[in-house]
Amino acid sequence: MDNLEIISLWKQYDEKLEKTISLNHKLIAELQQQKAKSALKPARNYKLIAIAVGVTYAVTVAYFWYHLNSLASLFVNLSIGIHLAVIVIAIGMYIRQLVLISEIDRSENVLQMQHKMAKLRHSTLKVIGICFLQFPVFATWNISFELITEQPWAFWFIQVPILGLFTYIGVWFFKNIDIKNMDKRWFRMMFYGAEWSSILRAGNFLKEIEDFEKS
Amino acid sequence: MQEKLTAPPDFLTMIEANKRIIFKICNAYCQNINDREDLAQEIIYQLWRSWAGFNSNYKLSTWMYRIALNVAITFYRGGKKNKETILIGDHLIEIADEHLDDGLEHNLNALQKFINELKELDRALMILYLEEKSHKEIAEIIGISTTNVATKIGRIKEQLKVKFSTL
Repeated sequence: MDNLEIISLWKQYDEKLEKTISLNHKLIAELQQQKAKSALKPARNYKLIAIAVGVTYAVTVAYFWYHLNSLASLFVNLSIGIHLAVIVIAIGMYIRQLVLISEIDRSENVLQMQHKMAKLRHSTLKVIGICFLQFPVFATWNISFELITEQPWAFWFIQVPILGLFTYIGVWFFKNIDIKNMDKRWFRMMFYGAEWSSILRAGNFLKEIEDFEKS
Repeated sequence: MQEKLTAPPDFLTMIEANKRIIFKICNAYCQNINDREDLAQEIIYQLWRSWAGFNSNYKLSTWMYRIALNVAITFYRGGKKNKETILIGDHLIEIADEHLDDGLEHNLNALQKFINELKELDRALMILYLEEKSHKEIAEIIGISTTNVATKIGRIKEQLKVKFSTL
C-alpha cells in the first residue's frame, strides 16, 4: 500500500464518520453550563491553598518576630529573617505560577503551548530548590556572642564547619534540583511517588519537545 | 469573570462542521471509550471558551486544530483521566454502527494502531498529514518551520511504507 492509498484510506474513514457520527447539541449546551460552574481548575485550587497557607504562616511568624525580636539574639533574628525571606520568595513564585496558568492560551501553536504547560508543571521543582536555601538557618539560630567569645574553639571547630556544611547542602540542592538531573539516582529517590509523577512527566516532555524541534 | 451560559449559534455550526476532526483526534489520543468521551467534552468546552476570542486573521481550521491538539496532548500527558469531566448521561458524539468492507476495516485498524504507537507530537503531525494539510498550515499549527515539517513528513511516509508493506 503506497502513501496515496493510505491517504485514500483516511478519506474513506472520514466518509464513514460523516455518515455515522452525530453531535448531541442538547448535551453540548448542558456541558457548557456544568463546566462553567466548575470554573476553578484543580491546579489553580491547589496553588491557591498553598498560597493561603504560606501567607498565613508568614504573617504569623512576622507578627511574633516583630513583637519579640528585641528578646532574641542577633543570630536568631537573622535566622528568622532568612526563613521569612525564603517563604516570601516561594509564595511569590506560586503567585507567578497562578498568573501563568491564567495566561495559558490553547490557541497558540502546539509546541509553544505545550512548552509553557510543561515548564509550568516543572517550575514547582524550583520552589523546592529555593526552600533549600534556608538550610543554613538550622545552624545559625543557636549561635550567640557568648559562644564566640567564651567558647571560641567550639564556635570555630564545631559551629562554623556545621554552618559551612549546611550552606553547602542548601546551595547544592538549590542548584541541582533541576529537571536535567531527573535521571540521577538521588533525584529519583527524592522525588519518588505519585505526587511527583506529573512533574517528572513534564520534565520528560520538555526533553521530547526540544528533540522534536531539533530533529 | 462570568462566562456566557449559552453558545452562539455559529459555534454549534462550527462544531457540527468539524465533528469528524474532533472525533479523529479523540480516537488518536485515547484508546478507551470513556476517556474518548471525556476528551471530546474537554475539546468542545475549550473551543467554546476560546470562540469569543477567535481571531479572524487566522484560518478557522488552524485555530481549531491548535486547540483540539493542545487539549488532547495535555489530556494525554495529565494521566489521561480528566478530573473535571462532567457526567452527562448520553454520549456527546453518537456513533451509528456501519460495517465497512473487511479489507478496508483491517487496513484502517492497522493505520489507527500505527498512529496510536507514535509519540504525542508525531501523532499530531501524522493526523495533519493524513488530513492533507499544507506544510505551511502544519507548521503554523505545530510551531515548527516548513522545512522541518517536510523532513518529518518524509520520515512518516517512510515509516508508513515499511509498516504497510508487511500487511
